[in-house]
Amino acid sequence: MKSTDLTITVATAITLSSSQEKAIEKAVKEKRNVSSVTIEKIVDPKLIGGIKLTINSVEYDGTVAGKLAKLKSQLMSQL
Amino acid sequence: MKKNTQQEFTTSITQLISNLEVNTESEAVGTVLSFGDGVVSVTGLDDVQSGELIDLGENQYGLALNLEKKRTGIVVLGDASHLSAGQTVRRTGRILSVGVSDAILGRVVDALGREVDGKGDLPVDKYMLLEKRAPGIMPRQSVSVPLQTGIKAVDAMIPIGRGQRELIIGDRSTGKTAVALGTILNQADQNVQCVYVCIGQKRSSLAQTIQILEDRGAMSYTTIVSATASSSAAEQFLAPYTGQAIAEYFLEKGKDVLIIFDDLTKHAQAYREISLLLRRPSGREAYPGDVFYLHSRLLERACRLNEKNGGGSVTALPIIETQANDVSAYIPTNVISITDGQIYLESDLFNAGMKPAINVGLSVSRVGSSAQRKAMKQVAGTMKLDLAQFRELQAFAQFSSDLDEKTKSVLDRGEHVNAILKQGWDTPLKMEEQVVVIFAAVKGYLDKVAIDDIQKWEAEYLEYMHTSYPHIFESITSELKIVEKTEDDLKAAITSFNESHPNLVPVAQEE
Repeated sequence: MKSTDLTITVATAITLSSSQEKAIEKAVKEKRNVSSVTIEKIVDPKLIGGIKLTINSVEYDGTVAGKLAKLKSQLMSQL
Repeated sequence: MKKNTQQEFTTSITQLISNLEVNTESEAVGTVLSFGDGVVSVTGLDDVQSGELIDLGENQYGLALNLEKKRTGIVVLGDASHLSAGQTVRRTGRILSVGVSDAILGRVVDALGREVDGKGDLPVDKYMLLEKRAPGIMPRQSVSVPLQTGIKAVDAMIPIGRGQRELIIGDRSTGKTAVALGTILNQADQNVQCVYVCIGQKRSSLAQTIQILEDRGAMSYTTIVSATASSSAAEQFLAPYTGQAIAEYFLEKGKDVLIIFDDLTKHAQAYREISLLLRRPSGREAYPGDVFYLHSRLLERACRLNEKNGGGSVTALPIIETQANDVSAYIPTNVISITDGQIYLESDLFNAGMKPAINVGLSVSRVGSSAQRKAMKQVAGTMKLDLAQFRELQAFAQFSSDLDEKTKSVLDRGEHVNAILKQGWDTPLKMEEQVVVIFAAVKGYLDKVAIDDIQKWEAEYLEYMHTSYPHIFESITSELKIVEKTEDDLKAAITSFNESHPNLVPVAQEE
């Protein structure tokens, strides 16, 4: 395990509970193989639901708003 | 009934949506640091490629041009006024390309290949990369087929071959665009597709150009790429590459293509603007260091491929505007050295009524003569000599009035040959027509015609030849040279024409 610190951004529609936060921290620690993770929290009701994770410059968008936007662009391209 | 259609609609929508992918995937994103003057500075965007399209949101895209360790410089294509600092932009993984199909002929597109003429969507057959390596050495073959411009002065003295790059250079309003447009008009029956790239020109003049091409039926084989003066610098910078990509689509099909870049001076200026905004170091005349490569990589893509590779060709006619006839400025010298010759237009000649205002002495074509037809060579050789002698003596003749007979006759011949090169830009002549006209001039059949009457003589002479001696034209087009019999016929024809037109050709007075 690398003794590095990783700062990630977590954006959600509602405030995360501490257990949810811990779960995210654990998942990222295992996935990225780092010793500690600092979480920057953003609460944005416009996301409707789900979470958006940003690690360095890679984004994992699992929010309802993001999925709707994807749906829209794909539908528009089929027309 | 109503319920039924509603149900159908619901099922079809459900089907559509169920086929779509909305899985969460990792996406490379960046955060906008600053945005201004069409240039966006972004942090993040790991692993972004140079020349990659960046999604700026709101259906707007940018082009990644500057890759640095901590930031990426992006130029905006189009309008991105919605951008603000802190906003997220994404990689698309796509390199700039343009969708092309045969339907693009007769259309006007912008620098990204989108239609701008309101004639409906363009079908896409193939995506062509804007930046592509020029064909290598082995697939090429040397220039062997002429590209007829229909302009006597060019076809006779500065012949252009298919696959050549010939620069048209001159001051403002000396008829550069007219030479290029005349050439497009002349391709009507030559089986050549044309691409006209307009960079930084006035919208009014482009509208006029399109009108002329439409009126003369030339749009059916022409595509126009438009990046006018009101387009962003990024679009003006990309337009020539878009035009070239469209030309290469036809090249791949084994066709002959003529591409006109009007003009590369504005292109260099647009690139200078982008480079300065991206804070790249500037060199001579504030142009960036790679401004030579900017044009050389574009014009290197003009080529003539061998039969194994389809046998197509791309002939490039770049246009450069000079200031006060200064061909030693940075961009003109660059492009002169890249191209295979230049057609040099002069404002002095233009003002003296010599149209096209081609300075035959300074214009050259380095490879075209091998593609020139034999018939044209037969008459053009003498003409070059006549004109060279004429120019040499002209300077002396201005000082003294009493010249010996020989000098007088050389001057006289030169004046007549010079006058026969005058031509309206929109009246291209076929190769065989040019041959019979130049033949008459260099053989001295025009010596008695007054200089002012020469245009009239030429028009009536061509009409006479078409009605009375069509077989002479047929012989030249089929043999591609003047055989002995045709030469005799031609001499007889001109003599009889001159005799029957005493108003144009005064009978020699007995002294």
